[in-house]
Amino acid sequence: MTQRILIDPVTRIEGHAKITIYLDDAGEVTDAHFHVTEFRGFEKFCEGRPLWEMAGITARICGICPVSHLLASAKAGDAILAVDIPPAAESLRRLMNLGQIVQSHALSFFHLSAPDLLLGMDSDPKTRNVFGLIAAEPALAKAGIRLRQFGQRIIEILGGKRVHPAWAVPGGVRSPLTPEGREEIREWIPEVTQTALDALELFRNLLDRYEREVMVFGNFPTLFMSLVGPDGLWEHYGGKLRVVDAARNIIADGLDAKDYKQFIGEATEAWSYLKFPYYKPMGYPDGIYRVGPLARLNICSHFGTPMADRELREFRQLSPGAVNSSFMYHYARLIEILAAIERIDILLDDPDLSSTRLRASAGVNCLEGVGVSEAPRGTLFHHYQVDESGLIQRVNLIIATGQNNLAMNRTVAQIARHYIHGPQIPEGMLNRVEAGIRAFDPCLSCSTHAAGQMPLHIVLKGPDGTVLDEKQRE
Amino acid sequence: MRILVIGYGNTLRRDDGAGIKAAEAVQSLGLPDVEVLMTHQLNPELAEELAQVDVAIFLDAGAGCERNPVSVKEVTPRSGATSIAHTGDPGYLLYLSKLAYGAAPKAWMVTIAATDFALGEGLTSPTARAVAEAIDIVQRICRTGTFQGNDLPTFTAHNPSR
Repeated sequence: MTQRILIDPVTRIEGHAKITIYLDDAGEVTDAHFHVTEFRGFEKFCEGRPLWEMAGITARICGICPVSHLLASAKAGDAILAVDIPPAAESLRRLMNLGQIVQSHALSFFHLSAPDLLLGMDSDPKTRNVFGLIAAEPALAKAGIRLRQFGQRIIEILGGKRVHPAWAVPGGVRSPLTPEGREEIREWIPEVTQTALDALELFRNLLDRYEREVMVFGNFPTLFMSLVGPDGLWEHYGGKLRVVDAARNIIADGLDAKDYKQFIGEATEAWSYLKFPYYKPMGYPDGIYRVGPLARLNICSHFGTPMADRELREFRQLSPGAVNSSFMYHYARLIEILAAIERIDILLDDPDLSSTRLRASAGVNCLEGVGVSEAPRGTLFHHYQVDESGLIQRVNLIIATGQNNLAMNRTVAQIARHYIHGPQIPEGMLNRVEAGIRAFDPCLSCSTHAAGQMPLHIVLKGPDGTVLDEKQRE
Repeated sequence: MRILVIGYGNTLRRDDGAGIKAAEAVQSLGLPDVEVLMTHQLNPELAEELAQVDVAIFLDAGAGCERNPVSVKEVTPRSGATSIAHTGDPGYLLYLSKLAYGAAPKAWMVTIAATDFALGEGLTSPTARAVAEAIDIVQRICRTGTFQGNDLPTFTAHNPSR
């Protein structure tokens, strides 16, 4: 007989989820499941909609990463129109995606994870939040808010709206960067660069405190996948897909997103509505792979910008192969913020950003298209099939959080095995299980939907299913 | 008196978009000294904007309050441990505003009764009617900067969904 510890739902992530930890008779952890309990009907909802509406519709999946869906959708539309978009449109899309990466990573680090990291995993949960962080580190916390604001302003300046800008469209974008917008973004650069550098310094100094967490927070060999540019350049919008193993050996390269079904399988489990993508050549579940900041840093050879490359060299010192600890997602996220700021700074010098030649016009030339981009949380695929008039017949979205599903489950099990022995869970231990999930910064509203918030609910069940203990964190 | 109206929700989840719809309508009125924002979720950077106004009005959909098409309650800064998701709630934002920027406005939560949160666009008829009522309430708050409970015959502080 087994015992079960239920953590329901997980707090400080987006959407509905719970964790079940299975114990044996001796009270030791045998397995763990990270459940997603709300069905995703979004793909069905899109059927029958005009292709040209898809970017605007899919951007409304999520309030945190709308730009990621906007861009992947627009790229799928580009493929269906069979057009090469104007160079200025690509630069502008890149600029918006970089703003998106900055704002999303800033939210993840400063608001969601920094309280754990700076105040301590065992600190009082009542103050282990952004308010506690402001009290303890006011300058850092405010700088984090400003950093996110910077990313949001880029999106707003380009798209004309803070969220859900229907700005990228099949064939290009709707409007250029105005001279005023360019200057406003440029004025932010020194401040946000310093914020990113300070956060990196802070994180490195914290690492000694979290040696154990580094060892057990999702620290296992997997594959990693991301887009990569020419010569291994860090990429977030274009390029081809690359897969590396835990030793950073390239096992697949130059993969075209349109062929994703050849190398990505999608398994299902009865206990979760979130699918389990895997690298097909290695089968399920051996084809476990991770996407997102950690994957992108393990895969790329360089950023092509001086400060980020300096940080990458230091990051590489963590391991001779790939950095396998999911705890290091935080580190990778901070380096990507810095890289994104440097790229934004460079892009601002591109005179093409003010071009008015922004959109290729065409009708439906292909009945199928796949768009891919690097969302903050990892590689995002939009696959559409349309009829001759461009009405959507079928949609498949493979989101970053889903691709990390196997790794998140394994992370929970690893942490639970290390910290939990018996049916009683100390608060700090519970938070470590959650923190392991938060390292991936999952955004379940992309796969399901976030309708309101839920408190933390923990139920301990004995071998016969009776509730042994129950806790609720309001 | 500077007033910020924030409507939030997901317009692809039918009635969940009621706050957005109401905010759009308020914006179209062009009320003086009233800024209107529409957003999917309450994100932390809104704290800075809140610190710069005297009154804030939050507009959102709420489940389980069908008996009261529109409910209004004053919101005060709140330091809770649970509202630190990708999204926050009004009390959390006000507390963040106060802590990070030294000021938080007087604030009102206007909750619009919602029943249908399925994927889709458009509001159910009862929620659409409630939106019209909410717009009227927002105008009244904008005129005086405050709200009296007996302004609404069905006044309630109930807001179970967020």
